[in-house]
Amino acid sequence: MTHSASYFSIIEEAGARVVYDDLCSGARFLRLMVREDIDPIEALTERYFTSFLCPTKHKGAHAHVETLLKEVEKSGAKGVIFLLYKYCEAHFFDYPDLKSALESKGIQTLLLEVEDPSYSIGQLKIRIQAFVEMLTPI
Amino acid sequence: MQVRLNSAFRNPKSEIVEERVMSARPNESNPYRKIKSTSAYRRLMMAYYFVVKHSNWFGKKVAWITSGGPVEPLYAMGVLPFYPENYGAMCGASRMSVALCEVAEQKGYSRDLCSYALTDIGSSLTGKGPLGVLPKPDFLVCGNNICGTVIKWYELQARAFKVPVFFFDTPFVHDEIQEHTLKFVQDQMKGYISFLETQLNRPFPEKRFLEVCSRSFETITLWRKILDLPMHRPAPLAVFDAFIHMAPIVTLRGTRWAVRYYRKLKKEMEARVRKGVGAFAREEIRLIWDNIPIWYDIRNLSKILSSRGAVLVADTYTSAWALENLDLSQPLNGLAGAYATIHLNRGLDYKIQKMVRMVERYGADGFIMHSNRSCKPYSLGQYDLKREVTRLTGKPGLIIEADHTDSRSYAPQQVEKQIQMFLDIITGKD
Repeated sequence: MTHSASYFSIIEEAGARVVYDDLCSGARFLRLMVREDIDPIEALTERYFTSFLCPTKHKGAHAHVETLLKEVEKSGAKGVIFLLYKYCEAHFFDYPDLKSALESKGIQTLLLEVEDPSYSIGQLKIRIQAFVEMLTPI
Repeated sequence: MQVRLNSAFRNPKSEIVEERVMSARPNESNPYRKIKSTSAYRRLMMAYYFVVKHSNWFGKKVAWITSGGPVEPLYAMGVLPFYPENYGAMCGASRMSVALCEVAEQKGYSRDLCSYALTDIGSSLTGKGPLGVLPKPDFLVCGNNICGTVIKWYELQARAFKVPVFFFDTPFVHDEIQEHTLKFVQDQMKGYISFLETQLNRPFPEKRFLEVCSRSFETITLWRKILDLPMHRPAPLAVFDAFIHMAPIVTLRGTRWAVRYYRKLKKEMEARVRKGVGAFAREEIRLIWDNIPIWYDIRNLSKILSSRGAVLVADTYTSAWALENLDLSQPLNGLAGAYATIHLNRGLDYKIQKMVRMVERYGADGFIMHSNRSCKPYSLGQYDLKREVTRLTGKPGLIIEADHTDSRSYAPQQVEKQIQMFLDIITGKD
């Protein structure tokens, strides 16, 4: 969910490929496609009401789980790394149910609680490496 | 289960200061006068929890609702409200909260989340706590006028219990409430009524609603008058008493029981005022409290203060239930306006003015602010609030760090030292 560019390199150096993301300033914004056939102000307003963008906005109790599951399945990802900012309660409240939903579909998950800037890159590297190794078929 | 205090994030105090504080403290007793109405209070709350826990025996549905949610339509429809936050306070006061939080943390919930929510999640997972297994909600009502945390908390409970949640959205009021905001909240009330009609499969009873609103209004008026009485010297009611006696206005607002109870309490307090009897025998320092109580340490804090003749006479939390702007000429719109403008939904300027007025009206010598780890909306801005209130009133303030129910985030000896030093400042002993 976080912003530092180094996370992608750490993951790829560990031997995995990031096939999709749900970062706060990343691919999640592709959910906000704007209609072009109606009044622009109406269209801009409508996209916020019809898309699940971020857990800080309430769009029903199941929007986050459903959206995440759909995108993960579409991407063909084998695992999901949760990069959550410390104190981001919107993501931390949703995390346990997201984790169990993914794991019930056979998708492995890893939780990394980070701060920006990160103070323990070394530890993150080790945990990501371990996660990737676990996913790598023998 | 081991509960250890993380002392690493507490500032260490020097031994010299500790010596000074210990020698400055007089060891005088200050008898506390027990409130007679407390036995009636206990019977009332036991009855309430009994009925709510066995709602099916009474053929009633149960809704879980946030503390700032409009409860009047629920009572009008004959639905019993249950308040997870009120239960969290009970768990905190019974010192059962930490164990329940730890259960939630085992399931993957971050320790940084609000401890009311963690307590509730832990209690739902284990069926443990002062009330044991809680009554399952038939639906949830979530109002974000108190905070945004409740949205996430109620979403997860909606998933866990597989029940619908009605979200009552009250936009933040930075200065004064705007016309379009008020209209938005009024529309929400209409949506709420439709939601209830769908859930209960019967029409909304207008007449009964008017009765419930009028009882709610009377309860609020009684509570406000009770909280005004500590303006007298000595204060007949201390804030720590109000923290206990607020349970009926939170959970039973709209019922005859609440009206009867507060009439009784008001009578007893007015008698004290006439006789010049205070909550404590000695009242030398009058203080204001800000934020939610430290539920598990009320008695101890009360003793620390009273042994120095210090009494908390007013606070921003109990007074939040003395809803302002309640216009009953159009009850649905009146409720919308009142719930949209509660204390926690207002900007910093409002909070500053409110505390300044409180310090002046109650003749306070200072104020104590609980910097509550769990509650951002209540704690954010407290340093600015403290500075401004001191600037405008000339009275000193103290900020103490704790959590409302999680005692792992509380260093009692530290806090006691801070309070003693603060009282020294007020009494001029430097």
